[in-house]
Amino acid sequence: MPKKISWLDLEHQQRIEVLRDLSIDKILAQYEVPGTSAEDFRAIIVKQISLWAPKNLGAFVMEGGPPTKDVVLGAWRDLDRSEALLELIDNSIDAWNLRRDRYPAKTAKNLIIYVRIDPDTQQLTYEDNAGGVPKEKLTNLVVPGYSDTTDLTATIGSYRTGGKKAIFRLATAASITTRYLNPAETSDEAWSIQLDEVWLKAPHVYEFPYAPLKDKSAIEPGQTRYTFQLREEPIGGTPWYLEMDDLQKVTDTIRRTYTLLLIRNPNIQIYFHDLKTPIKPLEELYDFSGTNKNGTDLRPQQVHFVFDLLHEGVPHKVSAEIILGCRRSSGAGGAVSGPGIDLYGNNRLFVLRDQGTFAHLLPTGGARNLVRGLVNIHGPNVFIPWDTHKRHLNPDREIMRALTKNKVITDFFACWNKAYQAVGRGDVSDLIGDKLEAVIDKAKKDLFIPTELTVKVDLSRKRGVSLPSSFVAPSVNRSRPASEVVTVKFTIDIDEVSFLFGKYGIEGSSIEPSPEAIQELCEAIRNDVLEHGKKKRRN
Amino acid sequence: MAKAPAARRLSYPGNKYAAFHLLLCRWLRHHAQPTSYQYVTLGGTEFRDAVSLHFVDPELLGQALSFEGHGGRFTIASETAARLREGGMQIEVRRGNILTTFTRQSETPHLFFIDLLGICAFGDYVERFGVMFQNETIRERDCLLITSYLPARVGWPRVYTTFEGEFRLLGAGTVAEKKTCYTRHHPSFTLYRALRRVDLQDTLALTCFGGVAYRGKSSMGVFGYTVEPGSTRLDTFANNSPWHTATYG
Repeated sequence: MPKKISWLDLEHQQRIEVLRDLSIDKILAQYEVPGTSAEDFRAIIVKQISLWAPKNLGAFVMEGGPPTKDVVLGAWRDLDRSEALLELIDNSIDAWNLRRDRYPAKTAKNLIIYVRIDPDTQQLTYEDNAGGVPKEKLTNLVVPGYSDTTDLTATIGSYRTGGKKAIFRLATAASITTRYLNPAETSDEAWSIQLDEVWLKAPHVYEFPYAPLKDKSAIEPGQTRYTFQLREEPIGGTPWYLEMDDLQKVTDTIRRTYTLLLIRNPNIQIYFHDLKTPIKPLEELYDFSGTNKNGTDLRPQQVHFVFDLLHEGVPHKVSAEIILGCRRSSGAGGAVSGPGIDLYGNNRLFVLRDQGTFAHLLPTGGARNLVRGLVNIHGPNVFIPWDTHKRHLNPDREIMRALTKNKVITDFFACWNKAYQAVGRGDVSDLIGDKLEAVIDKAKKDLFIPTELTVKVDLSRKRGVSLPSSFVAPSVNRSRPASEVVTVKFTIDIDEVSFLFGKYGIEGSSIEPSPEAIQELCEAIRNDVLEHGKKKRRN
Repeated sequence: MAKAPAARRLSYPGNKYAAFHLLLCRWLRHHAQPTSYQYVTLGGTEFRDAVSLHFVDPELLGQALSFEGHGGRFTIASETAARLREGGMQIEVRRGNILTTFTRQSETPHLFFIDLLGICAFGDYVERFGVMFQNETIRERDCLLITSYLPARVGWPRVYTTFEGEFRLLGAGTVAEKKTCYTRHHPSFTLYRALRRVDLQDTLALTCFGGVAYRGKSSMGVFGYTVEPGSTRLDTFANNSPWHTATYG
């Protein structure tokens, strides 16, 4: 029997000819996809005939060319200036971490990032000591798609475009100076890349000029320095870097984005415009209730859910760290201290106070204001569901299915959902007002979270699994002294329930009302009657 | 102080039992296995549904379990159950709610009669059914019979927006098509959403083996579902379900 030809070895045009000239049965007789059954191969062929319509094609011609720089050229209107700086900071952190893993003895103990702006020259200088860049990797600094980051490294950088976009966002011209700290100490090189106005505007030019520094002492070994001739912003007005609000906004964004990272890596220091004091973590971000008394325990809990995710058919370990706790206020809160779930990738914030992703697992109404927590995905960057700017969640990513639907993970949310609902009924200030004994555990270099647990999750098991018995759910004791409360009981029939559900706009079945709906009805009746009584008294 | 309304016996019109029996026939003919079933039903005081099953085959109705949340009706139901037990039926009445109280205690396949008077959509049914699927309260080899109020009491605009995705998927474009689609499939929408909520749409295969409209005190429908291992796709799930109207007299 003659050996079949691999379908995968054919080029597109050859396949089209085969699809056009042979019947499906003949194709199956002569070709194969190794490792695939005849039935599956038939399905592939049927799809390809449907997709390419081979019988209706004439002769092929070729068109197209390399991409332009337009994607990065548009960064000036796509990113705000804080986001551009975050991209550079992300790259510095990744470069330092990767180098620290490979050459710990030849890596600066502290990563120090300076950002300063000279109003006289209108130039911004960004500088780090992450190790510098060797000559053969200078392209990584300038050309989109080039980077030491791979999909499978546990980095912040993910798309290999961020630092490049930052250049186009901030600068009308830029020089990048770097002095590589060679771990083998066999060379000492310092280079300057020069990107002038013409290069930064030319969509088709990717080649860039660079030159060696004659005096390498202009930069320390291991340093990289970006100097940007800043865009005029706003046009004709006071430059943004002379406006305190604008500087504050950039500072706040950096502080918020890296709070968790700075807590967990005190060796990272970021200086923005104040070269004496590094930016401190924002402790107000996680002002959890520390209530633990009288049968109520609302102290925050941290669970690391560890599971495998496939990338190109190969499983990789991912850990989803979820911290849930209760806010110390039931008010809507401000920009920093409001409710919601923060989303992180490898300790880097990308969505602040998300209110929608886990909404189906959390309470509605006023109790929603009690929710505070974070989801932090640790592992290969390809699994982190952020967009290229790291400011939005892509809810369609596979990992989100695990986070929002897996039973073990959603059980953790369900425990807290119950607690939020229990707290949410009635006066909350007594219940949630206590502070945690600390926000940061300096010894552990982490947030102060009293309960920590690691749970292995088999994502293929969707039923018959639950949180380990060692997990203790948060608890709420709502009881008040008997002398302070009076319970009023009365009975109504189904028709009356239906009527009252309609009157008070309560959703759900009136035949099979849920406990939550009954509670809502009780509160509506109580408030209505009390209000009615007060009105009568006023009249 | 207002006096609590007295519990009264719940009786249902004949059309409801006609519809129930028709659907039961379809299940028995096409899907039922030659084994006993644990019958789990929602409330009522007379258990005519369980009596019918017992009449069809006492072996079919291995044991019946009824949930009644209303204190007065629970007493009446308990008395009825005691009388039926004397006649050889295995029936037990429990205080509570089938959707929240029931926990499965046997491997025997279950036949659920979720006899709702409201709409099996909106509210928290997606969450509740999702939990039942996830906790294996409802599992492979089970059968569900669900009643639902057919008119769009919530208003058609809300129906159109709530189920826009379903209508698109099922090709219901015009107002008339959407109304028909909703009337015939809204419990299926709820069950499918419940499966998706707990990510079991590729684990459990739901089949809607029929929907029967009937006229009780209002316009109602009873819908039948089987649960098997496999996967559920809304388009085939909904489009392959036969529809029948059982209004007599």
